[in-house]
Amino acid sequence: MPPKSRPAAAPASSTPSKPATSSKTGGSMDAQDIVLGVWNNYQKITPQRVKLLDSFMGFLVVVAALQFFYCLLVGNFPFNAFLSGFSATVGQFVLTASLRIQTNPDNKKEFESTSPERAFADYVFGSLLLHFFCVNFIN
Amino acid sequence: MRLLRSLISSLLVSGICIVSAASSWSFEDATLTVQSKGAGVGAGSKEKLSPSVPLPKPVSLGATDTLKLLLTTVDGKKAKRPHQAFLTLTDPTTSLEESFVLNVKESGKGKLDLTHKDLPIQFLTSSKPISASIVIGSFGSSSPYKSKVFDLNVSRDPNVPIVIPEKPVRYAAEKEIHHIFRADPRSPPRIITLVFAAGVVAALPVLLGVWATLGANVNHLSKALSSAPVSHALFFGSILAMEGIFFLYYTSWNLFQALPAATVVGSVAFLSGSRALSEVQERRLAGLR
Repeated sequence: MPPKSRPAAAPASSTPSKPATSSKTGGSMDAQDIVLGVWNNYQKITPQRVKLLDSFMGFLVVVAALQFFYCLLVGNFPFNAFLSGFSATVGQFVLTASLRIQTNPDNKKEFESTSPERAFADYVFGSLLLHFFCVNFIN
Repeated sequence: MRLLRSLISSLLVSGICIVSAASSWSFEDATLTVQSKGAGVGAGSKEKLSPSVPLPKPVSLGATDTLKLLLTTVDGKKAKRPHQAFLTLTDPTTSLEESFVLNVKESGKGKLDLTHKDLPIQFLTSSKPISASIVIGSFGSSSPYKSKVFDLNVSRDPNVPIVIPEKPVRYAAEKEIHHIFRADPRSPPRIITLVFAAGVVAALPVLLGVWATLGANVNHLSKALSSAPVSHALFFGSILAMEGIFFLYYTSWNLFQALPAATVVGSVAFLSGSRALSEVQERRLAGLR
């Protein structure tokens, strides 16, 4: 899951899952240099609001990983609690990813009909629904 | 006088009836032979059976021997075929009985062949001789015949093992099952839960810090509130109220208390949100975002 949220900085990329290629470092094929190049490119090119969403998605991944390792460690005794918490983070991640796709200024051509505010309203609505179902499922 | 005559005649008639009803079934010309396999017809022991007196000595039946019983059933003085004629073997200790049907022709002549194969396993393993009686019964008023005629000694070669079949399954209560149920699942140790919960809680300030580093658009707040304070406050407030409703639903409320409140708050959020977000859109189109 982590690689998905980072390298979406190349222009005209509409999904956050395509890795960006960097021509900055010339002929050096060192893996570390590539990663560093990708990261710097991301920092330069990504708009600020998109970076806010990315940091939120990173936070969600961390929380989901914590829950998962807790479940691996001590077993899933109240299984519905684990499922509810884990699916809350995963669902929120999916909603945030879709908000990111819709509000990214680079994707404006594909989303003429929905304004970013409309996307945000849908995001809020979806999040509230998700929270309700997760609270319901915990008991 | 007439009464006395009728009385005498009725007495005579009943007397004749009693005399004629006194017939009973029996047998005659009965012979019992035990023949070994392979021996001739004349060899082997031969006994005559009497209806009234059983044989003094027991008859021995070996593993390869055949017991042949020949008799003629008579009803009173007439040789007749009865409805039923058996040779009944009775174990004296357990009172276990087994009857073998005599093959009787119309003339009254009956015969029976008996080998070890016909005997039940309990007779083959019996220690005391088995008493054999002949039973003859039929319809009509003749009294039936049932009396012991001889003792049968079932002799077995002790070296030859005998196959005793298993006891059949009888329907009864089985033994009680003491099942040890799996223990209930228990919550993990509290310290581990606390550690992980602390980890999750600690991730939140990190997120806020990253947002602050990116400049979380807090500077937009004053401008937004100045142009549309009510809708922004209501929108934000209704989202918080919605989360509060979820919290109350989790702790104390049931669904039917939560749903009306959620409907009200949801409609407030929708109305105020559309206003607030259109204000945001204005600012975006003006290039301020």
